[in-house]
Amino acid sequence: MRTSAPRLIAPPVEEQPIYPYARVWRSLALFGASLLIVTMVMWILDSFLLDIERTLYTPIAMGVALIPAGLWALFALLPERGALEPRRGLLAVFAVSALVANGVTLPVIEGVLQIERWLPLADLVTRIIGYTVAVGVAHEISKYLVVRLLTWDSLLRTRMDSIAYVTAAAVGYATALNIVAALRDPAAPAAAAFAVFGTIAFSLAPGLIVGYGLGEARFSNPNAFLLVISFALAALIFGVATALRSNLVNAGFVLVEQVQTSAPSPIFGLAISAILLFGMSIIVASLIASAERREAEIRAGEAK
Amino acid sequence: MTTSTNNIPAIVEIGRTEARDTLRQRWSNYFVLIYAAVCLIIAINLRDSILNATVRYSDVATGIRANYPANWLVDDDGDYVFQVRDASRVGFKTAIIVDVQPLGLATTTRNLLDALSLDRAQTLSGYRTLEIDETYILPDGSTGTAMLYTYVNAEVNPVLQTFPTIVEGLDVIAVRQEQAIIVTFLADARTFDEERPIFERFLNALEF
Repeated sequence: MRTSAPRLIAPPVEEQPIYPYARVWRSLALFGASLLIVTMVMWILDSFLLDIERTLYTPIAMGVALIPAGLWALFALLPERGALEPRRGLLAVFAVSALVANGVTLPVIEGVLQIERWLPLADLVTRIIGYTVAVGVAHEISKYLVVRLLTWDSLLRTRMDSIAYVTAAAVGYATALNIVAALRDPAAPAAAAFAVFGTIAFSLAPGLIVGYGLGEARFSNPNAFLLVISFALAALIFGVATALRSNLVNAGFVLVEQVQTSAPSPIFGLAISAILLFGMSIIVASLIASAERREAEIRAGEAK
Repeated sequence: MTTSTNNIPAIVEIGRTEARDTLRQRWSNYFVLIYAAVCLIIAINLRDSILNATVRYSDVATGIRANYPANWLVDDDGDYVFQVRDASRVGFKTAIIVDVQPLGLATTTRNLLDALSLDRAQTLSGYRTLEIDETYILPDGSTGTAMLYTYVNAEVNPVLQTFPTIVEGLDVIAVRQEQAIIVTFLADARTFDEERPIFERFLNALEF
């Protein structure tokens, strides 16, 4: 009797399709987490370990203002070099957005809208409306126009491209605001770090919603109102978050039996900024994943 | 690119191929721009309505009624009818002071101005009269007198460690029934011109 070894047929190996672009959400997560860690380290150093002289506030504040740009270059710009299909023009979007923030939007907000004269003293509802229609819209339209004009025609290839370019615009925009703040009124290192994280979060989180709207408008051909709805929502989120944060973080003045004052709670402000940034990232990521899944199903249906 | 027979480029086409937007994409962009423009208009209106909001003040004893800016603090405990101050301002608090002085038969507006100047020169540091306009046109069309002056205001609380502020002041004097109404506007000299419209609006609505 002859026996032979059973002949086995190897199952076909499913090859993973190569993703040719740099991973945007991974870059964003690394960027946000490392900025949060840097902020916490600055706070611990300044509050408990170091006694920093006031004369060093300006250079330190300037350095802190530039940290987000460095982290963005490290986690978002550098990986593009290793990608098969790198995104072009990210640095241009970053730079133009920063120039627009410093040269156009900030003068409009301070010189024309003069928000410092009327918004901080207004009641909560007026502040929400004011921060939405004045500041939120001014910020978002600036970033939107930069991304729309520089990338729409030739640089947007997938939905994630719009998120990558909006991130570049948001970080560039916030960096310009942070540099201006550092030069005008340099705060103590911990306060400067908290302010920098807040500016980044309040620039990036609404920007991601606009990025989602841009991506959908570019690749899904949705209702013509989707983009403006996402834009309005982004401005509203900025307005609500800014007004609520100042209410919750700033020191209060309470008249209960005797005059009491409370200290500001910057850690609480940092927590609000972090929740806004990471929460919005998760929401937008799931919206984009859902849109891509829907599109894949449609494509598969057409193929059958 | 096309080439002629001797391999020299004849026509060079320069340009990029652009994907044409669909109608929806174009309109979605327009809607964003329209929305931003509408919000900007709303923001300017909101700013004006808050900055120009006023509160009514009336003093029965002197018959003075005025609309002063909302959020300013009113004070009628001093040697004047009342004063309102912008307490939210950092540094010197912009103020409008209304006072009434009786005028004798022999007393002229000029005498009143001289008395004010003499008094201020003794109490205010670096007091200087800059200009006197005796043909100042009041909001009701009548003629009054205006005096522009300056002085240095030093913070009385040494703990605050602030630099002295150069203050610019404007007195507008109107005479009614042997009484001189003196309306004074005081502001940091750097912001005096910027804030003067507030005073003009106050003056326009002042009734006495």
